Amino acid sequence: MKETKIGLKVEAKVRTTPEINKLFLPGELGAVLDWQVRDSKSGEIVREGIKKAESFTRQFFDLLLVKFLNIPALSPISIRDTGGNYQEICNGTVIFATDALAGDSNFGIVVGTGAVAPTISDYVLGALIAHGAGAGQLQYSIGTWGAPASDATTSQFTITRNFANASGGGITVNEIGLYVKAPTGAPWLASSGSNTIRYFMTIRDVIAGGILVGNGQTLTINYRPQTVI
Amino acid sequence: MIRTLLTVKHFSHEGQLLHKHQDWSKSFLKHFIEGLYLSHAQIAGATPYIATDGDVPGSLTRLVDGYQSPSAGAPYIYPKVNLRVVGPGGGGGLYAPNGGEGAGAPGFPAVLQGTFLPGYNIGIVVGRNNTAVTPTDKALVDRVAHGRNGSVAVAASIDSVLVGDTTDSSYAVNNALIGFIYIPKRSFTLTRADFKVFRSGNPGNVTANVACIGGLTASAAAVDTAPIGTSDVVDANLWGNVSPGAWVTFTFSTPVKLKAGFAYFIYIFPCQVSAGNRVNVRTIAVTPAVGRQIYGTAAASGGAISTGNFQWLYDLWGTAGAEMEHGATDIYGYSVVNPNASFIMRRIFMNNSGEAITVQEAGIYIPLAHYITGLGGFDFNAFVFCAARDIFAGIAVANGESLEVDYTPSITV
Repeated sequence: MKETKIGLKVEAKVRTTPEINKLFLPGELGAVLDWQVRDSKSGEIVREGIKKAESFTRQFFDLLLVKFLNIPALSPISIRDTGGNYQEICNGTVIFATDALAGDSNFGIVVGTGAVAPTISDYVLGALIAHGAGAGQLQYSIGTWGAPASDATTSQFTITRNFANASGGGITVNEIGLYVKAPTGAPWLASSGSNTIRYFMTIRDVIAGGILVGNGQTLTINYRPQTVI
Repeated sequence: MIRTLLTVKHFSHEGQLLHKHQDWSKSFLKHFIEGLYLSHAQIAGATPYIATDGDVPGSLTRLVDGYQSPSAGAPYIYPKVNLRVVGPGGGGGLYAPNGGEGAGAPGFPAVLQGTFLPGYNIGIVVGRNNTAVTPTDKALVDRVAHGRNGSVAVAASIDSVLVGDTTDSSYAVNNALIGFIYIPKRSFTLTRADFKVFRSGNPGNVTANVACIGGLTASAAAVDTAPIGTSDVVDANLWGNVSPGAWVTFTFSTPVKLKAGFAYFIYIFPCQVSAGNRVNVRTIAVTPAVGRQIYGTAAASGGAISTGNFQWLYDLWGTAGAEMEHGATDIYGYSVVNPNASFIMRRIFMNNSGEAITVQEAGIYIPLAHYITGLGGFDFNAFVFCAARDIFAGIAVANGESLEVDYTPSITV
């Protein structure tokens, strides 16, 4: 009898953006999340991934309503911040701001190690990874943006942030989120310090299996809010 | 993900539900994404974003921003009206405040400095055309305007100032323009413009032009004189040369859509070809003095512009569609029950035009802000863009009947 040989060919293929876009229903407002882990010395991509972002949280709708309704200072609405406290929010120019500077893990794209599935009521990451070079820490870069663009069906812009691992050991990122600003207090007193900036989580995603960021490697994350017609 | 349900209900004169269309909205557009971008990236007024895909009134490229930096001279910052959807019904004004104010506490005169947008130009809108949606749609293709007027199928006089002229106006600068700010009271398609004019010398060939105010150039005299429509050429050498002149017709073989509540600039070019060879226009000296007549030194955008306190005589002809009265756009019914959240945006439209109107498109108009120093008191703080557009099978709304249009965005985790 002739020997039968059975072989298994494993092929790992990264999904391209058009494939991800097929997951969007016509008229859907969502986001694409993609990431790359690079060796900090060589720049070589050691791993990457892309997925449709899972979850706008209720805070996104809360803040969108503040803009849609132009909520006045005399009748603010209560929104839960990343500290778990309800803040009185009215319309202001810094609502939805993600312009975090390097080292600021209070807002912008943030990462964590929590792995519990997202819910609409989530207001904070399960376990935020702090900024720094110590054990279990990542170095948060400044946030940057890609201007809006469109093709025949899709309109999107991009928010980007880098996280460098100088901790001495590997760190597995299980969750990615977006924290944004909103002010409490009178919105017209922006420069006087009479209002206070609070932070609110608008998106949270859990990555199945996590993203391993080795010591000396840098994780780049892109959130791309988009609409599809 | 967020999906939005579009519901259009058709009611009889007695309030009986005649028909209900309900489907997932297909169409939040690029301008909605731009509104989110301005906030997320904190695009400042000093370095605005260029919205190239066009605004509602003239499909113009506009500078827009989401943040005003406080300064020592202007520490008080008002919130921008970006992404506002709710608004008053009809012509009720929506105030779009200026970004920053002076060192003193916000005072009444300072607060008034800004743009008032008519309520009917913000929020949910409906139209007659079912051309396929694209992400860069600039407006509803054939919007049903606010009001109670019936259609004008054959070109007729839509808006005019025919008498009361007191003064000859002219501008003695070569290759310059002379015109006036015009805010239509009803939407119509301009096919003809008559002005009372006479010549000095031989001005030669001239045209009438329509431009939008507050264009790309954020200059101190921010009139975007690049026209959105130009008339056929008229030989001004054939005009009379004695005041008070006579009515002359400028025909727009390519008609121009003028949309109610938006500011346009109608002008004659050139107003002078060489010394002594110019156009003269009959006008009314205006009291109190509010700059209405505009004259400038260049036909291209950004030319130096001045104002004068004169109201032109004019007779604007065109065609127009039947109108529906717009109620307020409101938001209610916010509900959060894990894993879902939703709210409802609603507007009611009443057809009292005297004729049936077939509606087959709906959308949402939003303001996006940027401060432009205006002319004669016409400061601009916000421009209007199409954030969403949907098409559906036509609904024939008879006179006396109404539509209720709901957009219901919902999150599902």
